[in-house]
Amino acid sequence: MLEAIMGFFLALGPTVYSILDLIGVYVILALGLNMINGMAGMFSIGHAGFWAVGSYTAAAITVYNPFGTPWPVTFVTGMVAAILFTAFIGGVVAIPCLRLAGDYLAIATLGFAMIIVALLYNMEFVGAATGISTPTYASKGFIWLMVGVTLLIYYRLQFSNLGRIIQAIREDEIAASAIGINKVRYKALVFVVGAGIAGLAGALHANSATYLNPAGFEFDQSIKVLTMVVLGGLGSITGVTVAAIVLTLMPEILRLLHLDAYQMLVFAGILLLMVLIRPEGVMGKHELWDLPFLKKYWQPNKVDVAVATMTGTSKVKGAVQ
Amino acid sequence: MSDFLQFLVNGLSVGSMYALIALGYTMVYGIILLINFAHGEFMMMGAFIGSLVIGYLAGIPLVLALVIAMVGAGLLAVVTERIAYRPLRDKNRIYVLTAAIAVSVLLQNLGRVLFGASSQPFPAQFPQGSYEVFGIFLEYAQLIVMALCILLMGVLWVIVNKTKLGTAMRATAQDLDAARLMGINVNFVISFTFFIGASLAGAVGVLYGMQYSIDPLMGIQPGLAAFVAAVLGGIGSIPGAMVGGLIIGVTENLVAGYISSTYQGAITFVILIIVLAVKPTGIFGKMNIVKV
Repeated sequence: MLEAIMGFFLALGPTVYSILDLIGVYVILALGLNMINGMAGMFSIGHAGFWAVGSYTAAAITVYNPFGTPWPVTFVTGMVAAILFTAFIGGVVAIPCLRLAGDYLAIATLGFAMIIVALLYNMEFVGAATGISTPTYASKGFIWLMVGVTLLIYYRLQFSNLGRIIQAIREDEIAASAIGINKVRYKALVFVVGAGIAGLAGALHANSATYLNPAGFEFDQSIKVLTMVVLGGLGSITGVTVAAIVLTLMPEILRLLHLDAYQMLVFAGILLLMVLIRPEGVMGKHELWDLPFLKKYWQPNKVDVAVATMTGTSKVKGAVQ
Repeated sequence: MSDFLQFLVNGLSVGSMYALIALGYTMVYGIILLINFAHGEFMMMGAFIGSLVIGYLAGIPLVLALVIAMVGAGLLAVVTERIAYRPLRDKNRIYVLTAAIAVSVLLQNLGRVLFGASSQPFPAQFPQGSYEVFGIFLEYAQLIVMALCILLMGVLWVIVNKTKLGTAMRATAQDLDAARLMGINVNFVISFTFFIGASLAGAVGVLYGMQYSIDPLMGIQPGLAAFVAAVLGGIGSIPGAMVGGLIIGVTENLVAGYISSTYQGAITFVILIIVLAVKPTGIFGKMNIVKV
């Protein structure tokens, strides 16, 4: 028994190392969705569509290398192009979606994700249904550097004036409008930034996964990312990060236990149980540094936290143009 | 021209099945404002129940197997509502929607574990053959499907408009709290609505299986197409679901026929986005003012 457990953890070690790339990609992806679903309170269920746009944009540029540049330049060009183009697509999706409330918004984002995948199945120059082999320019170090950058951006945004405006809209649209916040503008902004972050995740994925095909961006991927956000806690930076790490490792653990057929069953089960038992997620809107035993080591600026918790109405006025 | 008419006939046949599934979406939405994502999975479960019944009870009349599949799918929906949707009914609508998505994926994968992931033949088939009218082929299967769908829609119309329970359903859809105050057992009415909607989907599952084959993921595509049909017709509106289903079925077949079958699924969503952007209430929908 003990040996079996030891063996399991020994087997897990190399697995963890080999999927570190994927964990990083999913963390970035989940943070992008958390910005849309958690920070802004919109309900997008088509995040894999944005991920697909980013992945294929980066793949097209790094595979064809249209400017004949050396590989680091090509890689960065691909990444920047992926971020910008995905952000642009996010803006396009936002136009019809932002007029819709709640569940209609969800369905519209799902529709866009489906259309994107259907288009990929028909794009011959990126391999259509067979897929496309991609170079592996993104090292583990670079991916995790980008995870750090994304976390920093998210953290800075969450406690900035802009972040408070967005959270104010989430808490009460009418109150936010009443103090002069242009809610459509900020909602669109969140959509664009969230999509751009998915574009970054896509670029890193395209240059670390060696191979892309449209089947890898279907609806079940959107469900996976959604489960990460719901499990971690809508709006919690650290909660979603930890959930993304755990849920990316989970299929690998299931594989070691020879239970891989149950992978999506487990994802759906977690999603259902969470929403029934604790719909706000394990962490709710709290962060790891709110935990009693971590509280004394580090805290963000106390005033910021207090104001952000009160959804920012007291400081927002000065920031609205 | 005969090509066009042929696509039209094929589309109407598929569309009448979409319409039947769409009725379930629209009735549930009409009553508890929930997009029941798992509705396509009730169709899949209906198909598998039908397949098991026909497989194990050799010689059973097809109509009886159809009824058993309908009841089975309906009961599954009632259980689903009780376990996954009812506890969340008074909470944020997004939570119920998340629960519905989770149930959908759960049932798909439960199907894979129970019945195997690969597609399998249905143990009963429609009689082969067709009538030829003006160069168009009307297959027996298409005619039977259309006739059955019209019959089931008629039954539904009678239930909704002519029975006491139907009156209770309409009252609950108009105002759940007022209906409760009038002494209507709202929980029972909601369960009944789920039962009716899912049993129609289960019937489609059997009809689908008899024409093609069955697999645990078979509910996704018709489910989504029917959902778009319900939105197009105006979600919450029963005639809207029927008209929407036919339009989606015909459009899909025209796109598959004239452009490419790989765009068949995408066109459904293009229609969805256009409807949501231009007229979110659909063709027959009433304007709902959502107070935020």
